[in-house]
Amino acid sequence: MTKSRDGGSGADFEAMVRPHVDQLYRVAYRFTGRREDAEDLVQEVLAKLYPRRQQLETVDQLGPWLTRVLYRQFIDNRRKKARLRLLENEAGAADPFDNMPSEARETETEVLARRDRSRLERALDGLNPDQRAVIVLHDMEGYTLVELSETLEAPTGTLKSRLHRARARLRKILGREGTL
Amino acid sequence: MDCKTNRKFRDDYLDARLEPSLRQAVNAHLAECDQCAQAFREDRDLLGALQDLPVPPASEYLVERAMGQGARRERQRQRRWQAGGLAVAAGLLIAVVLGLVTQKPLNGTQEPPMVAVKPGQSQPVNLVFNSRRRMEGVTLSVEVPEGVEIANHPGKRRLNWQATLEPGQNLLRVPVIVRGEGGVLRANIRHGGQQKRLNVRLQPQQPDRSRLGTGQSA
Repeated sequence: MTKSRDGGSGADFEAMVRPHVDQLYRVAYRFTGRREDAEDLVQEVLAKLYPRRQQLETVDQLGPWLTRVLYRQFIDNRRKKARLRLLENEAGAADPFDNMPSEARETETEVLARRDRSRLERALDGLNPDQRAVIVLHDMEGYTLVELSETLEAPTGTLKSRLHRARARLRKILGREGTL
Repeated sequence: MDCKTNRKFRDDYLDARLEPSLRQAVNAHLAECDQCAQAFREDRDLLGALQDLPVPPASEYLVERAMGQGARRERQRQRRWQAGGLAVAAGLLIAVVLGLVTQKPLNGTQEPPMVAVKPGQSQPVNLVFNSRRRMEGVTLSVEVPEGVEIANHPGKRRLNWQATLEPGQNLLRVPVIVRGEGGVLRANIRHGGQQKRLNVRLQPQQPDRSRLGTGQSA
């Protein structure tokens, strides 16, 4: 059994975080939109926390606390990524086969549903990370503004405005603007 | 209530945060304004569609991989400290600093950094080139070993192209598919008679509890 410098064992760590991993991954997937990126994000968070096992033992509400750490890591990664200039290159060119449907035959309804989902996922990609986070946590995962205020460490008024702007942006991307 | 006023309460109405009297006023407006009623239905449908977006299951052993990564990081930190702070990679990125005359491998004689990849799947390997100035006409090349494929170029082991580096960090994303034992991906960057090499060992993940994390650098 591994002991960290801070004490505590690997089994203790696993017992503490295991009940929250599914929810963390789910939120991470909603943040990033890709399974690999979501797993990397969760793994990065847990790997960073692993040597801080003793600190985790003192946290009252571990679930929301972990979500906050995940959110910070997501924002941090996006900011770092935004500072990177993507080199134009043929090796990194988008794979045109990435978005091809599977070979299995789909019904017309399934095709339309898949197109709608794909459109919605692309629209979410058009939000900035803070906007995406508030849509994910409030509109998709059901957090209240008060809960979000704790998790995202921002006043509810700020979050309400952010949510409003994020929804407006989403509607605009989806071509729904101006109907109300 | 007119359409403009109604629009102000759009989100609060959707989230059921309006006081009863205001909610009633919005309801009354929606009952007589087809356009606003249609917009509300679209908002509600959008919210439902967002909540219904599927989440694929995570890979097995996510926690074990994270714990393995955490333990490795700790060991690396200790080793780096002992070696005088020699740092190569951060997070998921393998970085190289340009503008140096040396042509030595990044780690001198040490083994190249290792990235664990899932066999048979296209996965990006991210290489970051830190440039101190703008560099035009840079020649980049990427070479993969037997059993590794550049995702968009099946059968091609080596790619060359010209690029311009901007000051700061420049990201090169190389999507690879590891089909065999893995091996060393060699990236080379040439400019004005100087060159810099960056080697990355691609290691297929083993399907057991001790396997390494996706795309992480050693």
